[in-house]
Formats: sequence, C-alpha cells, structure tokens
Amino acid sequence: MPLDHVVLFLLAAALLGLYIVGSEIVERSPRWGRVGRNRFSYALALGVYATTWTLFGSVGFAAEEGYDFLAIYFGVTLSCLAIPFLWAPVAELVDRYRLGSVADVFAFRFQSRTVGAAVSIFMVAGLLPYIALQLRAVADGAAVIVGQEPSEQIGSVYAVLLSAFAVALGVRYADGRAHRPGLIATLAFESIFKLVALLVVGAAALVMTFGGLRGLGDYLRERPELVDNMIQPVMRDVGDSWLALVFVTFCAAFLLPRQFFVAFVQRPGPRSLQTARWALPLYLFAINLPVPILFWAGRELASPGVRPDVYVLVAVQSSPTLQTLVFLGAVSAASAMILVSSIALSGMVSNYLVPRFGPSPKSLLNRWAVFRRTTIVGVIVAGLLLHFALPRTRTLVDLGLASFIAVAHLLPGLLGTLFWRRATRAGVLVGLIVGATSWAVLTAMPLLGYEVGISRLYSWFGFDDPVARGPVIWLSLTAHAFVFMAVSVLTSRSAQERTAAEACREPRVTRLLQVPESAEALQERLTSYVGRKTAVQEIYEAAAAADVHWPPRDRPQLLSLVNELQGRLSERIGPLAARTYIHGGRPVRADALAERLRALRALDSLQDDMASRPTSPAHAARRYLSQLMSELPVGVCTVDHHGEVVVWNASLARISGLAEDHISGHPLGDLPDPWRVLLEELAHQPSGSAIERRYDVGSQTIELRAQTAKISAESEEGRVFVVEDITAFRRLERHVAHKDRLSSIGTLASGVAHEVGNPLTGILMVAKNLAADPTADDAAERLQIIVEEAQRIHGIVKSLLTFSRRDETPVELQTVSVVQVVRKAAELAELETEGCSIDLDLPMDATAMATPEGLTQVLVNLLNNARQASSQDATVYVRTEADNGRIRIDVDDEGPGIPEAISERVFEPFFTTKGDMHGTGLGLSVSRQIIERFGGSLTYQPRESGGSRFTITLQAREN
Amino acid sequence: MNPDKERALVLFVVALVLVATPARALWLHTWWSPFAFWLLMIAVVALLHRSDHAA
Repeated sequence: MPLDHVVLFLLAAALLGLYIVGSEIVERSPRWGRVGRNRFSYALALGVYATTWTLFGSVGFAAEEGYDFLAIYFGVTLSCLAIPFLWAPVAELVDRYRLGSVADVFAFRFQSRTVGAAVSIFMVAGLLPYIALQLRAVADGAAVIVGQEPSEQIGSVYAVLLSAFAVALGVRYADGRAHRPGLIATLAFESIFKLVALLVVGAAALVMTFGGLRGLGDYLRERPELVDNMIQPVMRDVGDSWLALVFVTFCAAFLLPRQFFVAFVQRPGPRSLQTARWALPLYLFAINLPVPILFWAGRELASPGVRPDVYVLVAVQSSPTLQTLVFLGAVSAASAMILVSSIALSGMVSNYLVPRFGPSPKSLLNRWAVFRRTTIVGVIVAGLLLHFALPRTRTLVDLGLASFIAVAHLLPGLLGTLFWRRATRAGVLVGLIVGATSWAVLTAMPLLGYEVGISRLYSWFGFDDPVARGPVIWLSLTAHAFVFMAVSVLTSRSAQERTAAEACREPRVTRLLQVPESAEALQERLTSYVGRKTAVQEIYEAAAAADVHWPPRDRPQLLSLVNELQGRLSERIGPLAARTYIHGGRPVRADALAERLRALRALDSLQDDMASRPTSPAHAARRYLSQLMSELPVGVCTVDHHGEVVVWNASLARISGLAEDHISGHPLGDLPDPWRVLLEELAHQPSGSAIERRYDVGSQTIELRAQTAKISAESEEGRVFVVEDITAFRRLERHVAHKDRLSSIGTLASGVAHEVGNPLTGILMVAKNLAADPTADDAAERLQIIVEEAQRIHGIVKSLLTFSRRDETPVELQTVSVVQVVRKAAELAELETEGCSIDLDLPMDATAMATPEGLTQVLVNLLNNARQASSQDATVYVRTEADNGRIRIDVDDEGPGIPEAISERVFEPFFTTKGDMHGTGLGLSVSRQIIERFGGSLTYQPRESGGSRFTITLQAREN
Repeated sequence: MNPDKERALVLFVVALVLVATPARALWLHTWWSPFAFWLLMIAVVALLHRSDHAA
C-alpha cells in the first residue's frame, strides 16, 4: 500500500526532530560531547559533501554518462591526498587568525572588505542552485513514493520543513563559534543514516532484482553493452568532461562553503585532517558502491518516461519501507547540506554584505545574532524561490555542477593566498569579476534557459559539442586565472597586503597582532564602536576565556586578552572588522622590519629543530649575529625609518623588564615610561649624542646613560640606541666621594687641632708660669712669647678663613705687571728664608689680570716651598711666558720631586710632606684658591730632569 | 618541505596521473574495477597514515 504524504511528512519531521534533540544532548552533556570532538565524527561530518545528489542524482548521472559520475568523488579523493600541502596550510591560517569562511580568508589576505564581499556575492549566487537542488530532490522523491507527479505544492511543504529545521539548528549555531560538538555530531549521524539507507537499499535491490551478486554477474554477462556504456564515457572523455569534473570537485571538496566550514572552522584538533585524508574517501567509496547496482535495477524496473534521478526509489518499489528509508536518507542529506550551507553563507553575508548594503558595521556587533539568524532564513528562502523559478527540465547534475563550477573560481585566489606573495587585491578582484561573469554567462544563464550564443562562442574556440562541460569550465577558469595573474603583475600591493601575504605564507611565525597602548585605551576604542555595555561584556568574556584579570597587570596579560578578544570578534564579524574595533584601523605595515626579523628568527629556529638538515652559511651567520646581539652586555635598541622598534636585545629586556616580543614593531611612543621619554629625547639628538638621566620607577630610582647613532644602510635607515644602566656605578661613585669628603674633613680637623694646639699649649704654659710669678724678670719676654704664639694662631685662622671663603666676595682684578710681582716675590722669599738661589727668566713685561698682593703671596709660597725642597747649591727657576691670551709662570726646583702616589693630594688643605715643624699644609691649597679666584689655574707636574714644576696660568690683560 | 609533505606530494602526483590522464585505462576494465582501484588508493593512504602515526 503506497504511503501518503502526511505519513512521509511526519516521519521526516520526526527524524529532523531527533537530530535537533541529539544535537542538544551532545552540546549539553560532557559525555556525549566527546562524540562531537572525535576525529572520526569529524570525517563523517565532512560527508556532508554527499547530498541528495549522491542519493538520487548519481544514479541519474550514471544513466546518462556512465562512470563519469565517479569523477565527482575521485576529485574529492585527490583533494584529500593533497591535505598535507593544500588543506593543512589553510587550516593553520584559519586557526591562527580565527577566520570563519573562505570570504574571510580572501578578505584577510588581500586586506579588503570589497574582496570579501565579492567572494560572498559569488558564493551566494553559486550556492543557491545547490540549495534549490536539495529541496527539489526531496519533493520529487516524496512524489514518487506516494505515486504522484511532483508538484509545487509538495515541494513547498518539504521546503518549509527543511527550512524550519535549518533555521532551528542554524540559529542555535548562529554565533559562528568554532568547534561545536553538537553540530559535528548531528552531521556525523546524518552521514551514517544516509550511508546505511543507501547500502541497505542497494543490497535489497541486488537481492530482489538480480538474486544476488552471482545473478548480477549473469545479468551483465548477457548484456555486455551495459558495462561498456558505463566505461566508455570515461575512456572517451567527451569534451574533457571527466577531467573537468575531477578538477571542479577537487576544489569543491574544501572550498564549498559548507566543506570549508566543517573542514577548517569546526576542525576539532590537528590530527583530524590526517584521519579525514583516508576516512572521507572511504565513506564516499562506501556510499557510491550501490550506485551502479541501483542504476541497473532501476533501469530494469522503471516504466518508460521515469527520470533516472528517481531510479533509487524505483529499484525498491515493491517495498514502501525501503523507499521510506531511502527517502529519509535523502531528507538527512538535504537537511545537513542546507543547515551547514546556510550557516556558512550567513557568516559571509553578515560580515561583508550586511555592513555594505545594510546597517552600519559599527552597530553590527550589537545585533550580530539577529543579522546572522535573519541571513540564515534569507539564504534558505532564496533557495526556495529559486526552486520554484528553475525550469523542471534541469537535472540534479546540472544544478549541482553549476555550484561546483562557481566554487572552482576560488582556487586561483586561494593558491595566490597560500603560495604567491605577488598576488594583489586588484588582481584577485578583477579575476573574480571575470570568473563570475563567465560563470553567469556560460553556466547560470543556460541553466535558466537563456542560451546567449553559447554555441557560437564554443565554435570560436574550436569546440564542437555545446553541451560538453569541459569547455565551459576550462574557458572560464583560464580567463579568470590569466586576468588574476596579469593584473597582479601590473599592480602593486599595499603595505597591509604585503604583511598579510607574509602571514599567509608562514602563519606560524608571523604575528599581526598589535597591543593597544593600555587596557583603558582598548576599552575606550571598543566602546566607540559598539557602546559601553557590549564592550564591557565582550572584554569581560574574553578576559575570562584568556584567564586574565581586568585590568591586565602587565603587557603580556594585555597581549593575551587582545589575542582572545580579536579571535572572538573575528569569528563573528570577520578579521578586518575585528582589527578595526580593537586597533582603530591602525594599519599593520608589511615592510615592518621587526616582523621580517621575527619571521626570520622563527624560521631559523625551525631549521635548528630539523637536525637532519645541514645548516646553510647564511643561516649560521644569522645565528652568530643574532647571538652576538643578544649577548651584548649593553642594552641595544634599533628603530626603523618609521620609528618602530626593530631590535630590543636581551640586555635591554633585562634592564627594562620588557620582553622583545612585546616591544618590537611598536613605535617608540608606545613604550612605557621612562623608556619612551629617554629614547624619544635621544631620537631628536644628532648622531653620536649621549645623555644621562635619572628616573623614579615605582619605589626605585634608576640612572641611565644612552647614546644614539644613525643607521644609514642602503635598504633600511633608522637609529640605534645603546643604553647602560649606570645606577650601581653612580651609587659606588657617590659612596667613594662621600668617603673622600669624610677623609678630607678628618685631615682638616686633625690639621687644625695640631696647628692650633701647639702654640696654644705654649701660650698656656707660659701664661701659667706668668700667673704663678707675675713679677718675674723675664715677664716681658714671656708675654712676647704669648703674643707671638697668639699671632701664629691668628695666622692659621686667617688662612683657614681665606680657604673657606670660596667665591663669597668677588675679587676686583687689576692689571698686574708679572715681571714686577715675580721680582718682588723673589726678593721676599730670599729675605724670609735661607736657601738656594733663584734664577729669573722674564723675557717680556707681560701683564695679567690679578691682584698684586694675592699673586705675590702665591709666588712667595711657591718659591719658599721650592727652596725648602732644594739643596743649597741648587737653583730655583722662575720663567714667564705669554701664550694665546694667557700668562704662564713656571716655578721649577731641582729637589727630589713629589712621589706620584701623593701628587694628587698636595693641594688638599693640611696635607704636607714637610713635617710638623715646617708647615701647616695650607699653603698650596690657599694658593690654588687664590689663583682660581683670578680665573686662572695652579697645577703641578714633575720635571723630566727631576724636581717639581708648579705652573700658574693667568688671563692676560684685557685690551 | 618536510618528508611527510614530500611523500604526500609524490602520492598525489601518482594518483593524479592514474586518474586524470589516459592511464585510467589501466583500471577501467570491468564494472567493479573502478571501485577496486579507488579502494586501493584509500588503502595506500591509510597505511601511510598509520606508519606516519606510528613513527
């Protein structure tokens, strides 16, 4: 008894309801959640590739073109063989930058929302026929089972059912987040169901129609033309059909939006792809095994006029149960395909088309869930409308291939993304326009019944068969690829494109993330785009996910937070919008030397890890220089011509506490104080300048010395800064100076005590004696002694006052005749003490700025010292000389000289080598002070021939 | 390119030649031979995967 529509509809609805419930269980239960994270579930979920086309269309395809139908799956198998070198780089890129769709990849690589929008429009237009195909296949299957002609009414009912399912689950997963176990588990269950359905129906057809494998063998031996009809289309390859089909399905295996979404966005772990490499082809193999049997069984049983697309149902027409099973398999296949396609397409539409043609991107994040759900419904409704609009003469294969050809147009851009750094935004955009136009003219319009001179176009290119698919595919793809390459070569890349190209080539080693200047700046910037409430919520969630406290304590924590926040936003609103929200659209430069060096170091590190590979000389040299820079005992920072930090070596990282990873690539203005202040100040100084600065950092004070020089390399200009932490050195210096001061004060105190103490003792003793006998005969002599000793003390005190009166009273300088003063001083010296002779060499009557008394005092002191140090038969020489506005007076003796160890101390007060009875140790220090008050200098140096030389240098008379 | 990728590339090229060139006549004889060839390809990949994993 044939089933009626109500029963079929209820069964289909119940099955879809079970999927929804199962999905919820997997999402909520940790135990069942493991099912959705299993790599075999992942491989089965990739079986979403097998749609109603596989269940119904493959048999129809086999009926028309034999084993050409296998090309649809051989292409996927070849694509899976390319997983290690083609899928894996895409997966790494998607993981690294949290990209959500193939449009995100293009937009990210070419740094253009326009490119993302172009891909989105193309994919929506290309995929809608495929969605329409699913709705049509289910409706047609239901009509066959109930024994009626397919009608629009039946189609509408099932279309609404499938749409409702896709909306119900699609909305559940509309947040676009990666790794949803419920979704993967649902897709895996649906894959298992359609596989089981087809295998059971195939086995039943084999037994019921042919009596088993042996019977099938006999049947085919009697009709050898049936096998020949299957093989010949592949052997002849009419119109390059086989090759073209293998090629487009090779692309579709990972570029179809639903395949991309499952393969890369929902990938549960790094090993999953490796498992999928053999498990997905095995699944497709198993599901296709019954196809030839079902074709031959359907051919045997079908009435004239029945379309081969429904042979699967005809083959088991005697069993309503089996027909229902295969129908539910088709419902599973169609619902899975529509669900994932609508989620994937809605991501593209809401990221690239809604902001362009609808609400402002600034408000998108606030209402992204609404947009996402709306676009899911919109995509399904559009497929439904196309289902009604398409001529019924088109087969499932026609509709499916139209989508696959559209998707194949993504391959040039994707290969450019992964392997060709020279590819430009203009090139990919023009290529996509050419590809989309050729697809519309050569594929889509004929599908809608508009044959716009295609036959004539084919004949121009030498193709005879206008219905052959090969020319359509090769012609449009060749035009696309040629234009893409030509325009790329003729145009230049922007800075952002160059950086993104590097990131796509080596996603592991290139970092595009920039850290905002502070946590507050991050929140303010996000608030300016999405409002305070959403900004706070997003930051709070990202901080919780990254295990970072708010506000972040340091830059590493801020970096972790930004990384998480950018990834979360990128998953929902695309990589470009996410970066704008966080960094305010600050461009990431491609020519950033810091990025290039970081990439180079990472590559070197990778090469080091590969012990089996020989090290190249360039690599060894780089390692040596890198090690040298790292281990230099001084801090080194270099900036490029943009003022961004390129090198921040290990010593500087140690001094500053700032790791290179967090500094390089940032402008100096981004550095925390005091490093920003120090280096920015130095950056404005001429090459070779040095500065020393002292900063309070928290509770500590640091003293830094920094020097700068310009780098004038041919390709890279910039500056190098050498920074030394001199805090400890300065502390030691101050300690020594302090000790010196203490030592000087001690010397001074003991000198004063000694010099004053001696005469004071004498005064005291004489005064006591006088007090005991005031009438003594020698009282007058004793009083004279007291007077003399008191005068000695007075002299000492006077000298001390002179010494201590530094710069207190300005001296009124006079023009002094040096010759006269020297002669007078020599006379006085000879009068004061006995000793050697004084030889005067005064070639000219020079005049200097001084006071006659002061200069005389100094010269008498020097001459006395010289004579005391010399033997009786020696000579003291005094020589004057005028030189370049200065008057120089040398006082030389022939004594033993001053030992080098104490030569620096002779100008210290109370330092003397004469012993207690011959000097106070104040003479030279007072003399130097007097000369310095004249604006001159008094210095000592040993004579080459022995003895000492004291040199007075004075300013010559002003004209 | 590491040895795993090199091996994958060689395998891909061999499969491509067998599938996409007239060499496909080698596995197009009977109604079941395309499936046998297909299964053989999968088996080779699975065995390589297993040996990679074991290594």
